Amino acid sequence: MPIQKMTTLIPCGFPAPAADEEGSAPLSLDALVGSARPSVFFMRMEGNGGEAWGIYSGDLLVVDRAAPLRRGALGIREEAEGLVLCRVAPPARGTAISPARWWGRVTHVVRAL
Amino acid sequence: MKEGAAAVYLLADCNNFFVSCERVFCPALKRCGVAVLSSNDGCIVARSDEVKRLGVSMGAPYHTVRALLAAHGVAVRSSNVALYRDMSRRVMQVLREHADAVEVYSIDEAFLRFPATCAAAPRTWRTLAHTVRRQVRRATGIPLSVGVGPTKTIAKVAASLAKRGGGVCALLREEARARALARFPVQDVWQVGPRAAAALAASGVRTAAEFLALPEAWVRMRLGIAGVRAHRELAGLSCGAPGAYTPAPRKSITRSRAFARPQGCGAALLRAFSYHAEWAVRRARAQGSVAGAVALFARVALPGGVREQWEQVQKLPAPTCDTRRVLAAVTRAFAYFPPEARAYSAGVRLLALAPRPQGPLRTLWGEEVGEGERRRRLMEAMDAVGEKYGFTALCFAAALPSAAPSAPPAWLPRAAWRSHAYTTQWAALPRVHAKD
Repeated sequence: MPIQKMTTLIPCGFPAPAADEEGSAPLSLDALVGSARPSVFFMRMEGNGGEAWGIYSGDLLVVDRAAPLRRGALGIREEAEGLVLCRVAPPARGTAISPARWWGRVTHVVRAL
Repeated sequence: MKEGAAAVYLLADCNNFFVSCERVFCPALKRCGVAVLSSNDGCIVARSDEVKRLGVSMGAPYHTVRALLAAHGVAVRSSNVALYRDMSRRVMQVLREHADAVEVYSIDEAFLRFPATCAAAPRTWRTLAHTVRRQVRRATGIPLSVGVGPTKTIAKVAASLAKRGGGVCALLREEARARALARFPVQDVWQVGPRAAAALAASGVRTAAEFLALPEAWVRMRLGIAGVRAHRELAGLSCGAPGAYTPAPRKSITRSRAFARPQGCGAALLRAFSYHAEWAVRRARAQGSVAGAVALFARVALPGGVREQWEQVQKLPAPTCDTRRVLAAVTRAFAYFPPEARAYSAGVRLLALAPRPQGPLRTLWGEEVGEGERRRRLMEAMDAVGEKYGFTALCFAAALPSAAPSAPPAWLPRAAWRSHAYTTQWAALPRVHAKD
């Protein structure tokens, strides 16, 4: 039987410790805010009307159209003058939050310092 | 050909897609009619229901309906292709969550194919259609009509019935189908072309049901194989491989635009030709073709008010899809542009398209012609950058819209009412205010 000389290296060291471990991939802001989802959009805050909620002019808002609207959440509403940032008010007794005029829920704010 | 019962097709068709995209980001547009214009603001390419009711037809030149639209308070928008593409991508992404086999048929339509065994009762399919519709609406704001049928053609019929109200129409049961087809005009059946429709009308066939009642031999004789396919599909027999829709490669590629202002024979005009040529040659590469010749054409006015069509064809030294070679040919052809003429539009057509050869082309003497390997790789790299960052991100200087990035090009087409690229540019994001 002829003996063949192997010229390639055979990997036989220790495997990288975190290779198969969950949570070993680099952190991704995109994954955190879900910007790859079809329902996630970005908007830009303008004016100081949101300062009471800690949102300043120029802030980048991450808006998810499919996120459920909870009472007290910040949302985007369709008004005559355009898209408006509002707090979701507790609905009047016996009525549900009507999604009709809500554009989506603000899920994250991104601000450059 | 397979037995129709083996699959169920859902056609998801966005309602007035371009208009719906505009309305998502500008809620005020929900309270008035909206019309979207083609590139250069030439004709109507999308209409809201209000505009359809005014009798404005698809493709109507804008100047013929301008007064009517203004009188009814219709808002007008220029085409915002970047926005429509991104919204289409989102819609298709939601659709893919519902079916493995999604065949994107156009920017605003897709077929979802399911094995017929997925759900037993027609009622379940209807529920699924409503779910798809609701989720697309919720995630993207785009309203859909959904048609369900045992073949694509029947799903198409169902979708156009769904548009008239309800948003969902299922034509899975024989009786429902027969009722619908009896009232459905045959010329509206998918893939029945205007010529076939005329031939059918001459024989007194007006509805889809009457068409279906014809013997197949008659259809084959009078309408050919395309007619037979439509006929079988209407009968519930699925034709054609599902998911295998690919448009045939084009034989020529044309790109032309009218100018906002007429252009004399100068650098700006050559730039316009080069820009269109770069666009066309990228399209040729995308479909794996090489061009044998390039034609420049323009609508021109000569001194004395004579209007004519100018055209100059330039043969390429060897079939190519290399931008540099095409641009060189454009410059050569441009030398023939009459110096005293003014152009109202400019266009480029790539001719004699042929499949790209695998290896390098050589002359009889073994000299390499056409694309070298290095050039091919350069073009691939440019296409990859263009795909990711936009057409002008990496571009030959000759084909840039203007010499200085800060100077807006004088020749770019009109788009007077274009909305922002709300979803594809950081600087153009929708603006939000808070109420005091």
